Amino acid sequence: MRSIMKTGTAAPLSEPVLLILLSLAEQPRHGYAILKDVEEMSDGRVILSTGTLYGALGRLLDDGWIERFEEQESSRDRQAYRLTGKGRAVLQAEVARIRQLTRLASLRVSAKEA
Amino acid sequence: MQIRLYRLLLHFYPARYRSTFAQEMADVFQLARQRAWSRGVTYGMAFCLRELGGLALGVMHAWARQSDAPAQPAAQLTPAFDGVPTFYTCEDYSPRRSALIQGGVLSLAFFSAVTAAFEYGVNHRVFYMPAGAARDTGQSQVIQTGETGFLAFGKSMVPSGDGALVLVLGKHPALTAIDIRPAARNISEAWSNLVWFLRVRPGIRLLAPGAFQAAAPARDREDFAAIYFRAMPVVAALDADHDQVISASEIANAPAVLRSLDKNHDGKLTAEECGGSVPPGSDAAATGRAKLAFMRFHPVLAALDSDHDGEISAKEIENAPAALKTLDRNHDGKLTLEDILPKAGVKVQ
Repeated sequence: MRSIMKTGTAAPLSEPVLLILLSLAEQPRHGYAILKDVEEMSDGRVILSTGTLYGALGRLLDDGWIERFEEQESSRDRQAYRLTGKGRAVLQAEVARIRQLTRLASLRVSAKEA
Repeated sequence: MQIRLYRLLLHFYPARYRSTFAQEMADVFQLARQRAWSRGVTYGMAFCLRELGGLALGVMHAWARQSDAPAQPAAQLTPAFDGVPTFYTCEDYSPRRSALIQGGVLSLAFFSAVTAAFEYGVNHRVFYMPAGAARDTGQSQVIQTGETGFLAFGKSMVPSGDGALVLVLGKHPALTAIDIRPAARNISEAWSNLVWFLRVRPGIRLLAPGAFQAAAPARDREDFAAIYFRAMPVVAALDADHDQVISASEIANAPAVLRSLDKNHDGKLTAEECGGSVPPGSDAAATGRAKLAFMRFHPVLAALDSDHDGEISAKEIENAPAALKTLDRNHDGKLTLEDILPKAGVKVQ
């Protein structure tokens, strides 16, 4: 992930990381909310373990794609995560890459069918 | 339980990572666990496996990332005295504090595990008193709680060594093995030698050889009497008030008591019904010899079995009060320990 920002090239993100970023793109969330949202977004196909989730969150924090903050609304001192500008840029680049890939795939598949 | 284990496993993460995420991870694990198990056992089991796998991978990645971190510069070594530094390392930088703590914890855990293994071995050893050594012991031995011991009775434990001694205790809570195991491999040989090992529960004191004899130390004799009165069904039944004395009224009531021990209602009491047990695999002849020896060894049974055929017949049951009175050597009308407890070995051919 670090190399992406250095080179500026849109290297593909792993599916769990992409889903975590997408989850945080909508709104800031805490760990358990991310876990549930990822499962819902993937229709139960991607179920993250706690270790995997926090491994990914740790890397994203190190890379500066997300940031950690204390949830104000929560009765407990619960930490939540939100996307940084850098993270949003990476996510947009990845979405653009996927969109381009999808368009290309559609063209090729439709041409073959025709 | 699961959350405790999970919290414990979190200690495998590097300290920096743990201080940042451990509490959060434990909270999320708790919530996810409740959700998974509420869906059913299959989901719950899958959750546990997934968490274990995720944790293992997470720990590896965390340590790999940790090793990528730039090394700390060498710390200034503080001289303890006369310019001699207190701590040297082979590297040109001092170890991180977290590494030192991890090393300390691991060392402590390893030391604790080794110590615990030693302690377990000491407390759970199989205490084995070989027949040969038993003769020389001569003293009571105490089995500490947690130990398993073998109480040996046999030819070599008779001080005189004259003849074989058969002591077959019946079912008793102190004895974990009801079938008494022969010391010898060959069952027939074992029967002829009649050296037996009784497995006793932890905390049971090993009695000195000859504890049943009048000359034995008082404590051994009392302990033996207590075990004997509970282990021997006939004696236990006759001593209705559990005062270790078979009184005149208890002697008079003997026929009714003995009939109550007749489990198969054939009107007589066999050696088994009197508390004898025969190890599996014994041949008929050896079994017969053992039963006979058992009935002869215990004074009360020997008196009741007046024709010495190894069984207490219906007629002998009827005649029980008179038979029991023959044991009353001081003619005080009751049977005391001196009259009831076995006194010597029985030679078995």
